[in-house]
Amino acid sequence: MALDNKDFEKLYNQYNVLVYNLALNYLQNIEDAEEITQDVFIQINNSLSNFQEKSSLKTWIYRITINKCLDFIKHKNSQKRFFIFGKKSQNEFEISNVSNFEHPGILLENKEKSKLLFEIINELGENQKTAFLLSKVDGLSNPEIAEIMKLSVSSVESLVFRAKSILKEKISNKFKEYRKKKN
Amino acid sequence: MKSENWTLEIMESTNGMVKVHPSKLLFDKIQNKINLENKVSSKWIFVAAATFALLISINIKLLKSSLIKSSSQKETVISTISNTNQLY
Repeated sequence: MALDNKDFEKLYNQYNVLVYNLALNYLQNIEDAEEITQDVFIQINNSLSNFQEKSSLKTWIYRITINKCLDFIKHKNSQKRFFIFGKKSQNEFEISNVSNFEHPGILLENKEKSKLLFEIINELGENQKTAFLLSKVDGLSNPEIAEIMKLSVSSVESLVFRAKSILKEKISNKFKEYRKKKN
Repeated sequence: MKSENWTLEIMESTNGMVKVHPSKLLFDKIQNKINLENKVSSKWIFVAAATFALLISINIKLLKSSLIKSSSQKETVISTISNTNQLY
């Protein structure tokens, strides 16, 4: 059974910023993040009656959002592969444009640097990316991330640690490239 | 600038990040989609129910006709046996 309008609006007001920002960090595209936010709230509306309260509502919403984002990325990647053989669509620019994304919530002086950071975050594996984004960007604690990702706290610690080391290594490689170009 | 400093600056570039609000029209879009989904689903329920009813009526008709056929065949066999009184 779906929620009534008032309850749904209340729920939307409470969680829309969380869902939208997580989707934005994941997908790095404003239109895609809005699309995911729509899909997440439609799913919440349709399946809230099946929510078994084994976890908190917030955790459940985090999980739905992450799964939707991962599915979206997989779908886009399959489209990308299709473009290699097939006809190019209008969305191609959008797909290839991810690395040019400027996060609207980032301070002006950090825009260029964060663009590079997000570009490298996209090269991480699914779990590392999720753990890093939830930890560094969303500011969640390791036990909170562990609950969302259904992993142990030590696994999350290791994922975040690995993600940070990979990012540092890749950023330092970019620095070397940058210096080579300059010289 | 040293590599470590540069790396650290990049890694810390999301510090002070502000939460962004989605478009104000998004809630209306979601509600429209939900309403549309409900409309579509009731239409599909009707289509499914109609198809189901049609299938059942076809099955009943087929069963009836096959029953009539088999009983008439039985009657023919019985009548030939009773006429000749021979099994072979």
